Amino acid sequence: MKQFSLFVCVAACALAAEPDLNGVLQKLARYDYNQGREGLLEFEAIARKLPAKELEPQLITFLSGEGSLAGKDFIVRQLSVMGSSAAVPALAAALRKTETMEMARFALERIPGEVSGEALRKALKDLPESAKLGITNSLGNRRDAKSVSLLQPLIFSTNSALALSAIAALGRIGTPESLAALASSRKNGSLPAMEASLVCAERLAAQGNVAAADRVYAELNQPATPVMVRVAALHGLTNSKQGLAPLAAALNDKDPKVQGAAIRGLKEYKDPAASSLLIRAFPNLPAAIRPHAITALMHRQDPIALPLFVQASADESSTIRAAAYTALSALPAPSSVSVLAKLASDPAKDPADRDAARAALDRMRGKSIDDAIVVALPSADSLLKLELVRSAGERSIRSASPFLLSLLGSTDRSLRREAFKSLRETASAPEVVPLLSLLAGSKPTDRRDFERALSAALRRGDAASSKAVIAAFQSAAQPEMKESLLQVMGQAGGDEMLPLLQTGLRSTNADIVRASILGLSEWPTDTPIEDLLLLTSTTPEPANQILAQRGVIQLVGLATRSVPDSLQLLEAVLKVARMADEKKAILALLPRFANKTAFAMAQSLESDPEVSAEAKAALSRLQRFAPAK
Amino acid sequence: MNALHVLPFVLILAAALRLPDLADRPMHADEAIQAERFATLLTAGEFQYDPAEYHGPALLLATLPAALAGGRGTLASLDETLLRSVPTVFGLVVVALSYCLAGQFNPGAGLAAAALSAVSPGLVYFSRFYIPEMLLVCFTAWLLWAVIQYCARPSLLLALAAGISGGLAFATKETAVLSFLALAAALPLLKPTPRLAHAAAAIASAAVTIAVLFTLMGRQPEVLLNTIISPAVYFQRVITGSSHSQPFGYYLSTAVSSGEGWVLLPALAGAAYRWKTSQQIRFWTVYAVTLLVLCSVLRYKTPWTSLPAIHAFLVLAGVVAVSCLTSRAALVTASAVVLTLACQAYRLNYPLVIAASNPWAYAPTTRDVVAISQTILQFSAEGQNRVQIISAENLWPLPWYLRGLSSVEWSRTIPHGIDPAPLILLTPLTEADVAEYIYEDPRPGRRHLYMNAFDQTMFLRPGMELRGYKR
Amino acid sequence: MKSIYKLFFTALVAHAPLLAQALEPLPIVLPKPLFEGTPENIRVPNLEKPLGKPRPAFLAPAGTMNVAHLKAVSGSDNEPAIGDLEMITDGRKDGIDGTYVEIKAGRQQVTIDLGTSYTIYAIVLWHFHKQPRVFNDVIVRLSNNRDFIGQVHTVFNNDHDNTAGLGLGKDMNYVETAEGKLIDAQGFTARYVQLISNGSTASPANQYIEVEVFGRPPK
Repeated sequence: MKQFSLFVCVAACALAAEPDLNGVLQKLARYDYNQGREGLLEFEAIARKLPAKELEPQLITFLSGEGSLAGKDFIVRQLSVMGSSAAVPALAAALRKTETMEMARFALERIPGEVSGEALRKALKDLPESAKLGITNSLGNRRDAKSVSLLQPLIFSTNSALALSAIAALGRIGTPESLAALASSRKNGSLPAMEASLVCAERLAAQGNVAAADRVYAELNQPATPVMVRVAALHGLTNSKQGLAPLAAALNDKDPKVQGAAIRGLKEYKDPAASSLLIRAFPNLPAAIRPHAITALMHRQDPIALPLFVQASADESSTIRAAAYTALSALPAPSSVSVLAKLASDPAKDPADRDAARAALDRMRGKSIDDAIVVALPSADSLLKLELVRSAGERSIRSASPFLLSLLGSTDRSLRREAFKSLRETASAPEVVPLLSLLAGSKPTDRRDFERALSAALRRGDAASSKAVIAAFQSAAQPEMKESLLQVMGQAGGDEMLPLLQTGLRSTNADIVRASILGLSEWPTDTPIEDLLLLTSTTPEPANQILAQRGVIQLVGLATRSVPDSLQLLEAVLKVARMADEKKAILALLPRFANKTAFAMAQSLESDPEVSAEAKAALSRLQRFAPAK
Repeated sequence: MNALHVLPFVLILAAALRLPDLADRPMHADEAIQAERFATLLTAGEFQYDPAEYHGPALLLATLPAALAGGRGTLASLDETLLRSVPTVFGLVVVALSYCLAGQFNPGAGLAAAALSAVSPGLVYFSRFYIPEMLLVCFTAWLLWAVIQYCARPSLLLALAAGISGGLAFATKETAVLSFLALAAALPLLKPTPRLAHAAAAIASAAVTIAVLFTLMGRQPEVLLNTIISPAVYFQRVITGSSHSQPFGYYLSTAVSSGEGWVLLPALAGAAYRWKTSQQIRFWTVYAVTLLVLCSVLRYKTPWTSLPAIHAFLVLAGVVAVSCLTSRAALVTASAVVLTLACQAYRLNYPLVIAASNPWAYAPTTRDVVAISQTILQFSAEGQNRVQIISAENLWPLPWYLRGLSSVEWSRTIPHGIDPAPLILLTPLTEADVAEYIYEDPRPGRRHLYMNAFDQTMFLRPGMELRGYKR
Repeated sequence: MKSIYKLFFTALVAHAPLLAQALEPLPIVLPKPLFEGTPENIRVPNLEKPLGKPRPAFLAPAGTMNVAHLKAVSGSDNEPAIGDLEMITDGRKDGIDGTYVEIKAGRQQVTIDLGTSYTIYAIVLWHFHKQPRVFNDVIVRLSNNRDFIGQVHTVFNNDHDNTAGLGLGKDMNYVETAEGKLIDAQGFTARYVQLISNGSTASPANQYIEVEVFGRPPK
């Protein structure tokens, strides 16, 4: 009994869940556009589960019935997706009713097969002119070749919309017959016919009938043809086997749009002769078109265009020059280096031009360009040299480093300055030792630049480089040299440098101590904190005490230690800090380690008149840690 | 047509040209100085007389009734309209007196002279200018009327009138002496028969008038000495001085540019034509020409100095017009001339009032003075009380525009030892020294950056740039 | 009688230093200027303002110039992501790519070494003006000490809450423009000029286009 009851329940549930298509269709028969979409969604849910051959008859019946127009519209859309030839009669009948004509045509257009096509053709013959417009569109969309003979007479219709629709449909059909049907109109100068012919030709070419397409393009590529049609025809001819002749002729045309189309065509033309053609035609092109020609040649990546680019880089027109610079940078060639560098270094040139030439020089990729710069450097005059040195740095040409080193002794201040700047980008391990010896003999005004260059070289260097610096430090007799090397080691970082810096803290020379403090303050980790903290109270120099305090604060700011440890360190600094600046710096950090200890520290400074305002500001950010009242 | 019936309309025309927008034109430097002198008289009851400059007390005393009637008791309470209304009234009186003067010849001539005086661009211009000139023209005209009347019918009253008017003219401006000299030159043509008693009375009344006015009814007796030497001092300066030096023909060219010259020259021509027929014509010709020559001989020339001579020529023109032309022709000619001059008077007194092309605009104050003073006043209003004005050049009428402020510090030299004020005005010649002053005098840390106070270049007068810098 | 002479003599001796001291003229500050004569008439073709060179933005003594041009720049970031620290004093203010330096995020400083002490009247600073940005915690300090210890003059500080750790500032935030930010340097004498910033409204990184320091050698 129990099992029977269970069976009955399950069956009832199953029955209850059985989709009721009839019910939904009945609802759809009363559906209108201003109602919600629930019914439609319900139908779609059911339709997804039913096979098409089971669903379609019911939809056909619905279409033939007395349902609402909105309901039928919806059903027809379903038929357009899943309908077959079986639906065509009902749809053909609906095609003949004004209120259902458009929706039926919509579905017939999309139902594949001859039956639907025939229905549309029959309707085109039978229906009044007012109804033919949509049908011609549909026949065109279906590319219905059999309707060409029906469409051709319509192109002469007095109804201009119908005529245009028929012309366009013939174009979309894309057969030799439809092309022939357009011929007379096309030859009579009808622009729609020309456009439709172009569409047709494109289809023919896609189908492999290139000859027919070419004939159309050639026919339309005439001076008398409207410009945009000619442009489209030229576009078609670009890929044809008719060769370069039409494009060459178009290049010499008076209309810039035609010339532009020719240039675009030549840009893509696979024949190498296209480059020569463009180069030969270039001098006769109007100034407005020349940048496009340069760009086209750039796109072709043909080295024979280089002399033209070089010549164009000196043109009167700034747009032509800009195009030339871009082309030169996109077609890297060693010969272009001196051209661009000279342009960039010429003080008589417009600054914008110089910047553009400079940018083009920097953009040129390739080792050959780097080598060309390095080769040109020694013999260049001062202005050109300056530019090449700059570019060497911008391009990070490591092979230029030896020459750059030789410039560090130059009397030309700008050249020396530029060389330092570039060395920061190019120096690496091989330059470390030469830089060390140059640093040893350098003037005080250059010392800072040497330090920076050496730091950069050290960063790119290897273990041997670090050893060389350490050895130089240990053997340095002059305190200035030791000081500089400490700065370098501090900037470069590295665990092997740390002991030296820590040793430097114990030096009797205040400047060496200072350099060590500064170096350790910049350390990437907080390892030197204890060393600096000790110094805050042991070093005799007040300035170094302050620097050490700042160093501790800075390293605490890395926030690599726990909050209590960090605050303990800050408290230790606060005990020895005498100047307001350090107290302010501590107050600035306290909110990052927010707790009651931090609050108490800030509160203790509130009564100090020099920092009372800063203390209040810190307290306001630490307010939630105020003791409960 | 009775000329006297037309005179009110002429006076209305004169008023229409003189009265509107008295406050529109920026105060001239001379006007501002007279205003300050008047304020001293008004507030302290004192009158400072400098024989070399600034003239007699007549203008100031004439302004008293207007100020007292308007309840103005301080410099700050004075304004351009009140001050300029005084010469305006006198300008209208000059028009009426012109009728009286030329009317002695013929009422039509009187009307013509009155009409020409009403529309004379120069007379209109200085009827709207707070300087003594219109009072001088008025008192001189009264003197001339009294003298001409006396020559026709001697009487003690007329002698006293001549004395008083002469005294008033002298108490107005020292250049009245030129009119006296010109009168002396022309007087014989009237064949006067003076009586000694009348002459003594005239002289005495003149002397009493001068004494009363200069000493302010005896309150400042010390001023009297200066009045005795003033003509000598004044003329020594104007004869030998190099400032305002203009060529001999300056006044004539000014009159031609203004329009009066086109009346003046035909008047002379007509006078020459009718020389023998009319004593009045001879008198006015000699008087006007003598006066013009005397003015032109002096090297120091300012355009308003020629007004008494111009007025004389206008009276002459009135007489000549009636004498040379038929009444109809005189009417037509006079109407055309009056209309033309009226248009010119309008142009030179309204749209072109300070234009460089205006011959009467002499070192005019530009309209920048309004923007300059507003900047200073606004700066003061914002709580920045101190303003320093450092320049050795003539910055009048700026004090007039700042008369309401007590916090302006004027210095001709750099005031070392005093903190630079938040706003400093200076002239270009002083700029380098002021820059040193504001950046070197204060201690480091108290040297503030000074920015331009004005958005554009400012001129107090053409050629007199004023610069302002503020913190 | 003797006592009178004695008194007189004593008084004279007591005031001798004053009498002996060179007297300097007190500056004359008048309540208003003296009356002047009629001003000279200067005829100009028209009364319009003369066209000429633009007036400088601020009044400075003769000889004031940009003393930071091409001077050495160091900073807390020696390897800027974009550009180089030298760009800060290279004279290019157009702000296009390639003329500004971008240094790392957070509180960073750049320091210009003028080479020697100058009396500094004004500093003009361009961070970045291709788009309107407001840079945070902009602080400008002057010192003759390279480590900014001791006599340090803060001439601009808009850090309102001491996040930069250099004290509370009262200056206002400002939007960057092509004109640059003009800062009154109050005539302090300094060799080093330090500029601090802490990112901007657009990004946490810091940019500098140019810094000009207007000064002249101290007298």
